[in-house]
Amino acid sequence: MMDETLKDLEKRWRKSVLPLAVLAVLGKGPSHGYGLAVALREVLGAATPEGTLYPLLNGFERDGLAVAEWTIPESGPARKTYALTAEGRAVLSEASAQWSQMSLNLGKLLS
Amino acid sequence: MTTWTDLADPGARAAFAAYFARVERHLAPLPDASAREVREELELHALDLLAEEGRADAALARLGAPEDFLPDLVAERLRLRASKSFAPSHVFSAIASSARTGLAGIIVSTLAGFGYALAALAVVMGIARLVAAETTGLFRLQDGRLFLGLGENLGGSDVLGVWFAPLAFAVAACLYLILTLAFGRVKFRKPPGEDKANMTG
Repeated sequence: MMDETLKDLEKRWRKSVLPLAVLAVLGKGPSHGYGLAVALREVLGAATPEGTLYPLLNGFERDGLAVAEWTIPESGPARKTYALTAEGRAVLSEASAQWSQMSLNLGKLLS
Repeated sequence: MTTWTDLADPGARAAFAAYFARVERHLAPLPDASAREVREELELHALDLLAEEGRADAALARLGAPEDFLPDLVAERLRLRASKSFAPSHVFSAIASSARTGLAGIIVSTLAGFGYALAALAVVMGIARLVAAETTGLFRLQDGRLFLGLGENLGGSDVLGVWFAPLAFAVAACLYLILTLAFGRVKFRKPPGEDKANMTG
C-alpha cells in the first residue's frame, strides 16, 4: 500500500515538473522531440509516454515560448527542431527562480 | 532508413502500420501539411525508439497511445486555425475536435456552441426583420415590459425601428469575432501523461 502511494506521488511530481524540465532542456540548446525525450529520461526517468511531449511542444509554440523549424542534420533525415524564444527564456528564468525557492522552502519543511 | 515502410522485419512493419493508421485517424481533421508534419515527427521518433529498444512493440509503447496525446494537439491546432481564419467550417471543426478532449473540452465546446447559436439567432432575427418588420424586433408592451419578437408581435410599440436589423447583424458579428478569438486562445491542456497513459518507468 505504501509502495503504491509512493509510486503515485512520484508519478505526479514527474508529470507536473515536465513543462519546466522541457524548457530547461531547450534552454541548453535547440533539440528535436526524440533528443528532448532522451535528455528528459536522464533527469526524470521514463515517466510519461514520449508522445505526450508533442502537445506540450505545440503549446509552447502557440504561446510563443518556442519556435520550431525543420533542420537537415549532417546525416539522417530532416528533423523538426525546437528552440526557445526570448520569451521562453524569460519564462524559464522566472520559473527556475520559483522552483528554487519552492525547493528551498520544502527542504526546510522536510528537514 | 527514413520511414517505417523500409523496415526489414515484417512484424515490426505491421506494428508500425497499425500504429500509424491510428495516428492518421486522429490527424484526419488537420490540414494535410499540418498532419504530415506531425506524422513525420512521430515516425522519426518511433524509429529512434526502435533503434534503441530493438522491438517495435516496446518502441511504440514508449511513444504512447495516439489516443492519449493526439486529440489535445489536434484540437489546439484547429482552435488556433479557427481563430486566425474565422471561417465557420474551421470553427465547427475546432468545436467538434475540442469536445473530444475530455470534460474541460466538452464544457468549453458546449459554451462556445451556445454562444455561436446566439450569434446565429441574431443573424436570423436581422434577416427576419428585413422581411417581416411588423412581427420581428424589440417591442415595448403596454405594461412597459420589453419583448424580443421573432415572427410575433404581442401588440407592443417598436423600440429600435429600422436600427433593429443592423444592430442584430452587428451583435452577431461581434459575438462571432469575440467567441472565435477567445476559443482560439483558451487552454485546457491536461497535465502530460494523464488519464489512460501507461506509465513506462
